[in-house]
Amino acid sequence: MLTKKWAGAAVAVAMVLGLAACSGQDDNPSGGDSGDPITVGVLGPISGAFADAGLNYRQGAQIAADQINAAGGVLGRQIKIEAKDTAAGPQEASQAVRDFVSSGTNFLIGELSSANCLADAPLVDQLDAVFITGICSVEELTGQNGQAAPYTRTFRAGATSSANIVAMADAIGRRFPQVTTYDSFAFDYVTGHLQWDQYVQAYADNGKPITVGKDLWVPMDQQNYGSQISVLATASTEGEHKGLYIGTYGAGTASFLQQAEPYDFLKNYEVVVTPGGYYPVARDLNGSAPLVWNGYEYNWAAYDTPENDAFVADFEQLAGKKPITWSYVSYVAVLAYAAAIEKAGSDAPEAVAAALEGITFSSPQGEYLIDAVTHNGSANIVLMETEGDASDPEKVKMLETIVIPYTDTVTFNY
Amino acid sequence: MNQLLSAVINGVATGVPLFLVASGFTLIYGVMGVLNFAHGAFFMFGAYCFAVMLGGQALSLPMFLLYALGAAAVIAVLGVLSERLVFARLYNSGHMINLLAAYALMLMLIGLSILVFGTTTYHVPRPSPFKGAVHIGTVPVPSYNLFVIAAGLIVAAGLWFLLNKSSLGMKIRAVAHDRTTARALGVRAPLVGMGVFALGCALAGLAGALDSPMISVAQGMDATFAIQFFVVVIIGGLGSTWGALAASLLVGLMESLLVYYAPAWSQYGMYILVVIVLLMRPQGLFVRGPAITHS
Repeated sequence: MLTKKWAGAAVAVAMVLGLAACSGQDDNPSGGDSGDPITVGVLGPISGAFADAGLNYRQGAQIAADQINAAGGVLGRQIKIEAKDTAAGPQEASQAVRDFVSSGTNFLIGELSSANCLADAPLVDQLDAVFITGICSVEELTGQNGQAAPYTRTFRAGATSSANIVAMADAIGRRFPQVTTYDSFAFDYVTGHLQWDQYVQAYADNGKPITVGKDLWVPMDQQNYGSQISVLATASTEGEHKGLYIGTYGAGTASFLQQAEPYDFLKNYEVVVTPGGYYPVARDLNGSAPLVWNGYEYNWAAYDTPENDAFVADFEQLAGKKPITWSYVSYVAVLAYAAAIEKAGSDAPEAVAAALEGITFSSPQGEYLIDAVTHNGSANIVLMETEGDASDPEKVKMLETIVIPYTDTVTFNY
Repeated sequence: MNQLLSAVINGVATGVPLFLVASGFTLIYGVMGVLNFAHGAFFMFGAYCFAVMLGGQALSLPMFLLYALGAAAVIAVLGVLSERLVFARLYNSGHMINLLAAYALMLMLIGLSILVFGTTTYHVPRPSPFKGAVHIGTVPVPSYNLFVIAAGLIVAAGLWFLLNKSSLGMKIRAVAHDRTTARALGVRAPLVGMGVFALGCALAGLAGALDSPMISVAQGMDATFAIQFFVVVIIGGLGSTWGALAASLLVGLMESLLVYYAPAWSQYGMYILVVIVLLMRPQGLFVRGPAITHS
């Protein structure tokens, strides 16, 4: 009797699941009729060490959606933002993509990890969805050197790793021509080595090869750098024309700077440079951040445009602080979708993907272009000089910003 | 010579904070037989509580210590709650169930930390007397590191005294040796267990608080330290407090010496030690006889 009851229950559950699955296979691939909101799915970390980056990502996307909705929406429909956690890695990222698409959300943005992006991109093609990545800097996602994009449905709102590093090396090399020796402190992982090699190579390509002094690699799963820091503290003396390259990020960079503070040796370097998301680290150091040059896609002080003013003001209202690159690229990605849906006159993924190729739209950095062949976005690189300032509301003083136009970066320079 | 001195000092400065984290973990295992996977999360909660209490202000040393002990007390309460709600019901269920429960607790605590503290990274200033560096010979050492070394040695001595020279320690050792017999002899084993859990978690919280001026207090810091304190207790021997201290120093010295003399190998030092210990003495360096097997 019990067995029969269980069998009956199992059949009932199977029927409900079957019906639910059928109802998910909508005739309208964007998930809803013409009055429903258009959902953009944000992939990224909600938990774990990069949860704050994920939050910035979602907030940037939300600002774009709010601004578009306040202006009447897209094709008369509202934009809605939903998010899924992909902090656990490529497997969770793939599952998130499947979950989004099966629930009718075909327009995806985000990701922080290149490994996740490399898992997402082929799946997006396979599922006929569309994906605009922001921060994944791995070059294989889009076409390089004028080559066609390897994935038909994947686009890039940010810059590649090499675009960032080479632009930074060029500008720093011009700014500090006497610096001919660098010490390096970096995470020991593929991208860490790649970026340091690119930095050194960029100097060599410019005819000014640098000498590498101390070359220290630390594991990504540690935060105690006492031994490495004491080596660096004795490796430099004041007045030398020497640079320090910091190839860690996030909590790693913050811990390095905190542990280096009592030694007071960073002042011995003529220039301290770091690529990537350094601004939030400087902000979190609560006024004690040293003088650092950083290259990344965005800084709130870099552009004097009405679009940037609106973005910064709205972001500050939502988050209580200035936007950073992670918020910016997700903001741009949602703007790109809105422009493409408008251009396509439809929210069918195939039409939107086709419309994204070669699309232009207004953004905080000015007119933004997505290349029709390579699928690269026209992300500028912003070189910024910052220093901690306890009296500043952001706890960071912006000393200088230098915008390196995308046309001068290796992503587009072909 | 200077380089060797520098390497040794930095090795000790690296090792002692590790001991602070590992001591609570090994204490809980040694007495209760619970491999508390959530220990890293308690460490993270300690750091977060401390950072929130400080609110970014630099304090004098007495206030700094008071706040650190306050954070440890909060984590002790959290530990007692965890022990009562989760582990007290599972002591007779075997290692695997306890391990899974600890893992589930870890996931819950991580989720809770996002809800309570958000995703913001906190910066904790050093206490006012320990902002700079002092010179030992010609070697500069951050004075705060010396303070943490002193704190770690005091904790080690305190634990030794508690476990070996106090009546409570005798009861704890009795429960660790044979819980049933201890109960038959009138030891209130559940209370002792709760106390040990509270102490172990308080040590994790204290470690989080004292480490926080040297690291970023952020989501994910539990995982950053989990591997290291696991390695320390494997090398020292599960359940051995002195083993944890010796292994922490060994790991710190090994890493520091490699950074100075063979930098390419520096990040493998800890794992090389683990392999050697597991091959030569799988029960750990400071545990007599075969590896501890709590039933």
